[in-house]
Amino acid sequence: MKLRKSINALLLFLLLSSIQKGFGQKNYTISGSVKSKNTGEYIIGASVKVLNSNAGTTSNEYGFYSISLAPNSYQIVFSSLGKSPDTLSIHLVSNIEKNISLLEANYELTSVTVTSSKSSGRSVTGSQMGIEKISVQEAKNIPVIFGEKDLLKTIQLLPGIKTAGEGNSGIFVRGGSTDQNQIILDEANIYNAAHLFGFFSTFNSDAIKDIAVYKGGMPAQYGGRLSSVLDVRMNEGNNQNTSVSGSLGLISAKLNVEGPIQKNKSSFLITGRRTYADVFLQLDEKSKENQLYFYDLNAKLNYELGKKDKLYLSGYFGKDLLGFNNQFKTNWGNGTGTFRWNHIFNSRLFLNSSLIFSNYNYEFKVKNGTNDIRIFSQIRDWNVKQDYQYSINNNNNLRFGWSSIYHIIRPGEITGNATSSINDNIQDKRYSFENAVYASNTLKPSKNLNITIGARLSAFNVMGGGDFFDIDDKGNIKDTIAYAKGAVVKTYYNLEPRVSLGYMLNANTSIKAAYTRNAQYMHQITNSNGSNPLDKWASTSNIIQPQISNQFSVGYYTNILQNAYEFTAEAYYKEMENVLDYRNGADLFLNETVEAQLLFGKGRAYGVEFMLKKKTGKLTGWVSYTLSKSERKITGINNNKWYNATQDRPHDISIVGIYQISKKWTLSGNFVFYTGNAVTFPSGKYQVNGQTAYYYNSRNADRMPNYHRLDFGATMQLKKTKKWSKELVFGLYNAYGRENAYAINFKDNKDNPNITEIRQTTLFRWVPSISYNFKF
Amino acid sequence: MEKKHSILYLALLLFSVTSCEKTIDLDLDTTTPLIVVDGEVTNSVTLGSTVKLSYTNKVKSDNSIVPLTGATVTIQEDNGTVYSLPETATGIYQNPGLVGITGKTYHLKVITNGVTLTSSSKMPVMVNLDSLVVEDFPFFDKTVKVVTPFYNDPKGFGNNYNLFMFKNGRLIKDIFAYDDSFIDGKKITFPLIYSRESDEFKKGDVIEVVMNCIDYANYKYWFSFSQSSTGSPLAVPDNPISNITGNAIGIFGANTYQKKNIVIP
Repeated sequence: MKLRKSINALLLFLLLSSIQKGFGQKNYTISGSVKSKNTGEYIIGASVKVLNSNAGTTSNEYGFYSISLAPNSYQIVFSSLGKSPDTLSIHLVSNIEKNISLLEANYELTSVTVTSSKSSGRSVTGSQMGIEKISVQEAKNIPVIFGEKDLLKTIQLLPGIKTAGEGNSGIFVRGGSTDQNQIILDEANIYNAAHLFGFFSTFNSDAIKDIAVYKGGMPAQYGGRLSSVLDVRMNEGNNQNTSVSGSLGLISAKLNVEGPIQKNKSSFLITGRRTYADVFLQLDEKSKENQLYFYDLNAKLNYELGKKDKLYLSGYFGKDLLGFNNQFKTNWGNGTGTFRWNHIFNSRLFLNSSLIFSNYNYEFKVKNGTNDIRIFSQIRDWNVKQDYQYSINNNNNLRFGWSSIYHIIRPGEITGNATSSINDNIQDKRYSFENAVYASNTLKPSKNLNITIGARLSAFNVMGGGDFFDIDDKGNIKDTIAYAKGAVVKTYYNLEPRVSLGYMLNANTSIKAAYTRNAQYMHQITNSNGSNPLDKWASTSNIIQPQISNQFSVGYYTNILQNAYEFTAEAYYKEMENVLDYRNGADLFLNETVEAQLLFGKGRAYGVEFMLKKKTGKLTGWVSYTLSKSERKITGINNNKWYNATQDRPHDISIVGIYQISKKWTLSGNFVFYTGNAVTFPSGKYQVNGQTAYYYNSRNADRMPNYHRLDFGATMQLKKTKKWSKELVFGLYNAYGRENAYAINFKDNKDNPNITEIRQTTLFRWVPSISYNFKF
Repeated sequence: MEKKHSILYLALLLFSVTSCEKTIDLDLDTTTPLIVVDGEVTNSVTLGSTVKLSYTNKVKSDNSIVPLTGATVTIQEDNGTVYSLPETATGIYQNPGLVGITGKTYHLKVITNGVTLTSSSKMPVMVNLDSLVVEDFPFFDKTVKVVTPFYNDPKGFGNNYNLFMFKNGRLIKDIFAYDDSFIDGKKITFPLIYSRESDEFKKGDVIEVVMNCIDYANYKYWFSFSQSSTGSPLAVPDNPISNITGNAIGIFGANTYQKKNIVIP
């Protein structure tokens, strides 16, 4: 602890002194926005490079850029993936504002060369590491199950990001659990990013602009989860022309309408998706009462309020509905709303203020005989934050801000009708504040060195209103303390330093290192590995401590053969404190004293990730390999010894290839291989009261069989004019029909109950798909 | 908990179009045999008290019991009479004369090869099993017959139940263990839903329902048994929480016993 404190103090000092150093130099600033000429959408992460100098920057999340230079003449190149670059000649004698519009690159004219220089998000330059980026455009041709484009599945092909299971959109990042990923859609927390138990994600790719995954080295403006940040940004809507696009697939139909409200000034976007498996179900008279579908609705409005101000309003609403014979009915879903206001104070200072709402709830209804029972649970956030970006000079940028979230959890409510067999039970609501202030400084002390030094100070107030418990080692309740609403039960503080360094060895090669600490105050309590809508979120309390992680990482980045290939290698070591598990025999379902059922311990994860990417030519794609380990040590589990986390998978390989044969046809394929999950198989069996029981010796000491699979895809461009575009997308998932194990059960043989069978369940073999996309 | 699982089953069903199941073989470790205690004191004059002792077996062997013979088994009622349970068949120790009484605590002691195992359990109040009814229940694409026991939970927390079902004399291998945390003082009308399609009730089947009232440790055992020890991957597997002290696993309970039959119409 002492060491931690002195590291904290040192970093704070460095941060403050680096900011000081930045002031007092005479420079002028060029600033403005970078957008697409065709759609008017702002471009995130466009490169702004000053020729014949090492100065440069990238546009921020709202397309804004700012660069400060000494008075002189410059040529500045603006570029972005899929756009034609633009060069600006400038004689800098005062601050100037330049808004840049980049044309869509026309592939037909430039033969079929696809250049995706920024595509992976990895960059040789700068100090940011541990990031993966993927745009909808790139993911378009990569085959996915049922042909349902899903960025959360496509990112699983990148190193360090592992699937939570067959066909699942849940992910494990660098040995962390699924609830350690912060999934944000236009800044709003998505508490359950899964439809249909994880087989689909809540992100309709037609509505999404891009996704960035931070596996390590998280910038200081992010916080709240241990293992990753998935920053998903919605499209803004075309402010040039109205356009309609859509698709018909095996699983769902989608429609997207966008266009200007006032040309160049304001635009709207509405995207909807609905699955229609239930339409087929209802063909059968008997199953008329059955329900089985999900839908998503994304909407966004933008308004330019003069030159200096922009307003954005975006929302997401999604729901799953499942019902059988009027006897079981369940629904769950997220709803979010984000209101943002961009304000440019001057050419150097940019502010974004956000007001964010997020809600997740589920409802479960059972009707049987005289029983009519409803179960309900909800988590709701109100969040206000401000993020300032200040360009001190060409070599020094400062970012700082604050965030405050009010969490309201309704942990569980069960109610029944008068004739039901249950008593109503409404658990106390849980209230908490999650606050943070942060600052981060990006510096370039020398030509080859980039430094980002920052820190986030987070505070969590457990608020009263309801009963809190005091428990002993065995989980028995010693005392119950009632707190009034508004009373502070407990406050936690954490200083989270974020430091990264990048050093250019030569024009094409760099090395980087980073140290990141993260604190997590919201925890998911689950006893299943897949996504379950009934999994509950619990806030940090007097018993549940914040989870803390410290991650150290180093990386090597190089561009080979005139940027045709890119090779990166990153190694990390992550330690985690206060990770959760639950006691043997824990009853998590609607349990008022769920905290008494939990156990706390440590985790550690380490590994190396390699990726070789081919970025140009007719054939593009990548090979990625991860070698890793993830372990837990929790008092009360596995005789208090270290054991493999479920997501411990030593080897993980992905190969992705996209081949553009002609203007008409694009072929693609991907292959994945990974070591089976760590699982617990029985080492003995016995009979109790006529039932067969299994004896388990040590936690997660066994392995599921290795997983491997090959998928193919093909895209056929049917018609492409200036106004119309139509295409057909074919897919074949698991092309050689590998019987991968989804589950392994031990059970008595059906015909001869005297013998035990080991039964393996395989979900998907040879799943073909076809979908039709259009745009006009 | 059942409900939580049933919707997971539904999800699996959705993909049953493409999913398939097969028997596989795995290399499994074998633990050194452990002693398993399976004992109960009942309030039934026909059943009396029985303690079965056995050892754990290899997973890949058949389900026959590896009996533990030659043990000395005694049960003491409160601080009073010590009953001995002689071995009446290999590994089965019985005393039909030991009939339990509500409110009394029974102390088990097993001595075998120098090892002493102990446990105790208090016989709870017997809650009357009023009746059985046959009901329709939706089972995915069809409707099946299920049996629902009716009983009235007495007011005040602390009643725990363990129900078993036999179809034509054969045990249905599902666990129905409940506490009263949600049902206190209510009339209970929850159907006993079996999970295996092969157990489906047909016209003329005789369904026998046994209802045991059990203490909390026994409830915890059967609840954790249903959660984690059945070889299903829906929860992280673990051993049920035993109430046996000493180097052994298993359960000892002082249970009230009731039985009712119904014929599927």
